[in-house]
Amino acid sequence: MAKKLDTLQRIEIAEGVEIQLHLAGPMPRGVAFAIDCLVKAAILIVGSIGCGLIGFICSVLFGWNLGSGLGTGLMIAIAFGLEFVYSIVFEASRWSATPGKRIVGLKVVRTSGAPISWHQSVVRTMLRVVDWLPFFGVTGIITGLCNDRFQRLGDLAADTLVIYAEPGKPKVVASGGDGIAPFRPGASLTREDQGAIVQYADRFREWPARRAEELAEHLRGLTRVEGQEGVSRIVGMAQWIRGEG
Amino acid sequence: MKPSAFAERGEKTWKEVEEALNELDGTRGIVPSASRLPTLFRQVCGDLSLAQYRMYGLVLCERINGLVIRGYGHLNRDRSDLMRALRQGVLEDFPLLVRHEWRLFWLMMACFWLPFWGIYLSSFHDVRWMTSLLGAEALDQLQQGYGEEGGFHEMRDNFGSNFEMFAFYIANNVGIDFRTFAGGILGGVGTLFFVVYNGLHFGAATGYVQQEADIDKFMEWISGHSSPEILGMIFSGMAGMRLGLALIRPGQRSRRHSLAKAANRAVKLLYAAAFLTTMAAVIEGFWSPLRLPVFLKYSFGCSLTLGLISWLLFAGKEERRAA
Repeated sequence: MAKKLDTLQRIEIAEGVEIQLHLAGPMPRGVAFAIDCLVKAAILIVGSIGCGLIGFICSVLFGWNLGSGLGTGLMIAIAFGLEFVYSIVFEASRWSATPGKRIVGLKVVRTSGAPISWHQSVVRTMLRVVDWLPFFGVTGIITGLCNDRFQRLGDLAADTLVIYAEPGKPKVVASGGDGIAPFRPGASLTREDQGAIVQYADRFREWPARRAEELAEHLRGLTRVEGQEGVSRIVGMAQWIRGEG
Repeated sequence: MKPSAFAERGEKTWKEVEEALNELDGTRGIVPSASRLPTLFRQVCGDLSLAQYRMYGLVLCERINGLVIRGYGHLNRDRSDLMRALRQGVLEDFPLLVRHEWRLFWLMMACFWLPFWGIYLSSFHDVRWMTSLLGAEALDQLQQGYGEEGGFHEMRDNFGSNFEMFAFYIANNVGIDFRTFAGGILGGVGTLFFVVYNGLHFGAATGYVQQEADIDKFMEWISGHSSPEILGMIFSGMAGMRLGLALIRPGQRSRRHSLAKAANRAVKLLYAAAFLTTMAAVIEGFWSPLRLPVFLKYSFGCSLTLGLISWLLFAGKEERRAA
């Protein structure tokens, strides 16, 4: 059911349980990318000032004339490093994320959910060139939208996913029924239906009251009451399903 | 069992796992609590499937889900020894891989050398073609480097400019390698384009120098670094074609699966390409501009080429798999 409703990626790991990864869509990834660009620009600026200073100090203090080429060369090396080495090293590191991704709270993992290897990090980074084409990452975005896991070409080739790093913090405030008594549903429900009801109870506080009522209205046949009362009844059913009360 | 009772019962284990994970997050090494992690992890896995099956709700499930993901990450951490992998890769795996992929190797050689010789030989017929292919600026540079009055020695008067050119060669040539590889994902078309284009470009430069400048200076200059540079390009082309072929001819696998598998293989070719091209940049940056007897430069270039060929032909044992 989660497969239909959410951006959750269910993966069965070797231990026989399913874990749920929270996939990150184009928007947070775009923000992370923009932050990375700023970081790189900052490094480039600091680097160029540094190169200039080194050259200046060498010529004044020691009288070495290294030639202007040294500074230019260092700048080329830094720019090259930022284009390729930056994301390879950061994503293969313990962070599994570039600074931008880390700030946004994203992380790169294998499709199996395990941390990515150096190979994968290299493949992802190399193919970014193609994903960027023709401009602003259009190829990557379109590819991402064409599959169910938001994988750009680089992700597909490297077999990686970008997910939210801390899935342990759902936006729901609290579980439980706020003192609403468990209520036995008047009909037998499939597992899928039960799951939907439990999720409703978990989330209804996130929505405006009118929206919660509107959704509850769909279950009129089951709850047999209207408005706010219908909401409480669904929550009661969730309590009953969970075995609470 | 009520969710609250379940949470109460599991809390102790979860806390313990959480602490062990927090400790592990802070270090590359191993902490004492890590030895308990596998056992605890299996318990938490059991808890997760129970909580999911009994629909204990988002908060509880997400918490255990988070623990399992983090634990899974740590238990599956890549702890391979980089130096060992490097040694084995250079001395065994890579030459074996190239010998295994001999068809792609010769395909890429053909894609480079046929345009090269074609355009080079055409320079005897009409050198103006080179002009239109290379552009005025490149011709100017060729004249400066290898012309009658100019000379590449004069262009490099100090360490700084050597270093600048070294950095430039790395960024430019390794960047081209990487793009050649990446172009493979477009069904191999991008790769073919880059390799053929490079063949044309080098061929045109050689042809132009042959007709209009001093070919001996040119040969002296490229004798050192040309073999690793061209091999590097061939390898990145092979890597790119691996990607492209995986999409065009996935065989029994799905395209997605086939691509991921091919990329894993291709990236090893790419490492070798990057290594060789970097080596070429070091040679081109620091060795080639030296004022040495031509004889010495040619012997260096020849021995390097022979070394590379024998590395590809003889390193690594074919029967390793049996062991």
